[in-house]
Amino acid sequence: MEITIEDLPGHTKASLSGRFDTTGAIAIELPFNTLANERRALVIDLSNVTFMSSYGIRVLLRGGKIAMSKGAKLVIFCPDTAVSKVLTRAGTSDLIPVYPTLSAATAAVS
Amino acid sequence: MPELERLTTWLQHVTRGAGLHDDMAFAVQLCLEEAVANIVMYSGLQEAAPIAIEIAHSGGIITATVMDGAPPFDPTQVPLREKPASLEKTRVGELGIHLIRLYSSEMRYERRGDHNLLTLRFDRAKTPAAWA
Repeated sequence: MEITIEDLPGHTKASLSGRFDTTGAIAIELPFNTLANERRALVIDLSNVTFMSSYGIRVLLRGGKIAMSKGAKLVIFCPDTAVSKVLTRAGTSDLIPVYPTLSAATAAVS
Repeated sequence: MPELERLTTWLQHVTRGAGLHDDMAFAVQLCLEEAVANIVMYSGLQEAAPIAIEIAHSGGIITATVMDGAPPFDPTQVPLREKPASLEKTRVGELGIHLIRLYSSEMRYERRGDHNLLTLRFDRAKTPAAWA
């Protein structure tokens, strides 16, 4: 799993790609937490994520908690895929806003 | 975690070879990843100890078994996860068994000798809500 970070006007976009399974989530956990700790407005782009496990959700929730504790905004962009269904069914989307389009996610943190 | 990487590769091969629908293939991969990750990370099983996984496909039903020699652990007895009121109050872990419940049609456990035996069924006729 890879993470690409773009600092854009008004927000930061973190694009994840690959399988957000246990192995992938452990690989990006530290940089993801650092990002959540340092940025004020963060869009997590999951459009190129092909799989989501509980450890992936755990990383997202921890990042969301870190951002909230700093008064920062963190939202997820995830099109309607098997990955977004996992987020919905596990209740993650009730805790961290999930948007089906990048423009909607960006608007939410701007 | 090399064991989980090997599992992923094998599961992708098996589910592709069986010609499963995408949603069922996803469910099988997810539930077995969760079951094995729980054993590898939390059971106290020694690193070199084997974990045996079998998958059978018959009449559109997938039956998967996971057997390990760790101390007894019955995931069917883990309390249902309550819906958290807020991000602040939610626990970040303990989601794996919750996902297995959501994505499998049936989860059974038995202690067989010195081993845990977990059996998961995936039946399109009893489509879990998570597949919809």
